[in-house]
Amino acid sequence: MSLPPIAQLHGVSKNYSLDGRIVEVLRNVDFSVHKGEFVAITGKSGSGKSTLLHICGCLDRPTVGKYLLDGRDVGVLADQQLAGLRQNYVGFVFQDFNLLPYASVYENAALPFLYSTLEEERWKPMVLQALEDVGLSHRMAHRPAALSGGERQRVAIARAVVTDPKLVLADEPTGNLDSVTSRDILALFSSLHKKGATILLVTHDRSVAATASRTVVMCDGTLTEVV
Amino acid sequence: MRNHILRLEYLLALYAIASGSLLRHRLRSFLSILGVICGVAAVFATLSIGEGAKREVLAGIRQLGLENIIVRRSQFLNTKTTGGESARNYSNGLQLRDVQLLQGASSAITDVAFLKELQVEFTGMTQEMMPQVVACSSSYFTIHGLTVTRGRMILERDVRLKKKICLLGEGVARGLGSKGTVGNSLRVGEQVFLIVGIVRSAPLKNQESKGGTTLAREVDQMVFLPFGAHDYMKGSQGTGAVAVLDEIVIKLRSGKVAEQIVPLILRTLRLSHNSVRDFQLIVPWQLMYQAKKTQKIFNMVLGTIGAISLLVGGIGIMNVLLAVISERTREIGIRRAVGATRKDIMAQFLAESLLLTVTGGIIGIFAGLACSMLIARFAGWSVAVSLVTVVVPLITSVIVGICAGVYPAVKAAGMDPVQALRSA
Ligand SMILES: Nc1ncnc2c1ncn2[C@@H]1O[C@H](COP(=O)(O)OP(=O)(O)OP(=O)(O)O)[C@@H](O)[C@H]1O
Ligand SMILES: [Mg+2]
Repeated sequence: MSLPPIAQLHGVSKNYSLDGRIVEVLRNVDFSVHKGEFVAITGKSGSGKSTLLHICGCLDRPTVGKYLLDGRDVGVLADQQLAGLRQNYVGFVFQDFNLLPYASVYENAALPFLYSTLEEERWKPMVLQALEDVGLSHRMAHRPAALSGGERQRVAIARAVVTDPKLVLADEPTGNLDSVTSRDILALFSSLHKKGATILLVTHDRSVAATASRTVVMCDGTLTEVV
Repeated sequence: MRNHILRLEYLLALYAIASGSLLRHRLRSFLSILGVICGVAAVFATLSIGEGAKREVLAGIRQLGLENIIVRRSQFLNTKTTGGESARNYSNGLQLRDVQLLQGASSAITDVAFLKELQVEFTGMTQEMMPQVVACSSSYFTIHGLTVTRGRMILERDVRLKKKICLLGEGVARGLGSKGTVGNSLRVGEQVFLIVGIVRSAPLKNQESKGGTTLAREVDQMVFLPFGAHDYMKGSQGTGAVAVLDEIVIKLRSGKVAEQIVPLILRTLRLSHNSVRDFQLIVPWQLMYQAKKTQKIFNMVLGTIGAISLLVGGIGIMNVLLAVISERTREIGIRRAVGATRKDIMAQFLAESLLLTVTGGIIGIFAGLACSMLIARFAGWSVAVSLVTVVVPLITSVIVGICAGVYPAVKAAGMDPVQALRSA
């Protein structure tokens, strides 16, 4: 792999101070994701998987260490520039969908473009395409409340990939779904991967490892690669 | 740097988000803007009634002439004398001698006019149509800025020679028809007077713009005789030492000196009237001053009500916004995760605050209009709605919206996105 990694963590630590005690959530993590990879992260609850994902998605900053997104040092960027990176470079999928309840499927999928300077005639086809890719073109006017869990997660995936981000981050996307629906969602991630998306996915599901190009395990704030 | 915030598309989207959010909680939104409605209504009423009342009161006072002081004959008000009879013995009322004394009293007095009301019945006229006949000095016309539509004024010579002429108000002339024209004669009591002119009853607005003055009486329904000519009429009092005048009008160099001249006039008249207070002074300048003061107090009361309502209203809106923000913490996290900046979040909640207060402002203007129309009806004042009376309350509501919205908006914008996403 000669290309520079999309995401690159160098000696990243994340600490929280809780009642005067310092909680070390991430300890000296070195980790990279390359273009076109599908990386699965597993690990115990509370081991710091979500925290790692938030740092990769520029939602959070490391306490110590360096994070490079597409070669740019995120640590030196201002809040507003981080927001720009979140809008253009990354897409998030959450366990509990995190859709806006009073917005339609279409509006939810189009949400990232609200904060961009792109013209509507430019982004509208992208939204329609993303919704078609997740198989929800026929439900565009519906509210999330009218959808099943699996369908809601599809909307969330459409929202995550609509800007064609360099990195798709998914935090236990199947955690709230039954096994059949989970398989559908994972299949959707696989097909996104095949189309060229770079995916970093947290899961408890061992079978995902088979789909992913590699799997890492998080344990008490440190990462170990599974070979 | 992304500057999507100024794009129309974005602003429309903000409006849609804000209105959607507020419509989802109609009752709460409405209750939260009640204070703003009251406040804006009070501001609107202050402005519109204040303006209307001012125009009306001031126009009325200006009609008397701001640089005039009017001395009216009255029931004596002497507190020292007990019986009315004894008081009358000491004073003979307003006399021509008073006019002469006043003329020489101060250099600030530029002219003095006088007038006597005559009790004359015209046969064949209804009570409402009955003209008021007065005998006056020639200066009466110049002081009040009266002009004629036809013919001429009463001149000094007419008074000196006691000419048997008269001037008619336009209404009287109209009532008399062809007999009420210049050159005809009018029968007043037993005597016949030659009509020499018709006095113009100018509309109020013109008088104001000319800066001229007109007596508050109805010039329209008056017949003017030269002072002295009424001697010919049977039963009327002569112009001699005992002739009692009804009104003396003193014209000053300027209304501003009225305050200094009033004591002088009082002293002069007290001397010649043996301290009997059988007259009353009307000082339009003072009346205007007082009217303005009353107006100011009225404005202050309504203004205070408005300010308090707006303060309470603003706090109510802030309260609702804080509730909205804690309800929608998750939404804030979602928006931040997909690329919203702190400014975006701030703009969103400021938009909600503004939409609330401006809606309150618009409702308040209509409420204020209704209120001021009611007050105006009961108080007999007029309401003046102008651009200012609409724009000022609107700007006020925008300011309240910004003030009430800033703290919640900053609070929302300051939220940590990760914590916001973790929230229930
Ligand atoms: N703001 C905070 N203050 C203190 N501790 C925190 C804070 N946020 C997270 N933590 C702690 O960091 C640790 C890692 O949290 P994280 O959400 O990354 O775990 P996780 O691996 O995603 O767990 P799960 O599988 O249950 O989602 C947890 O022990 C959590 O209590
Ligand atoms: Mg987690």
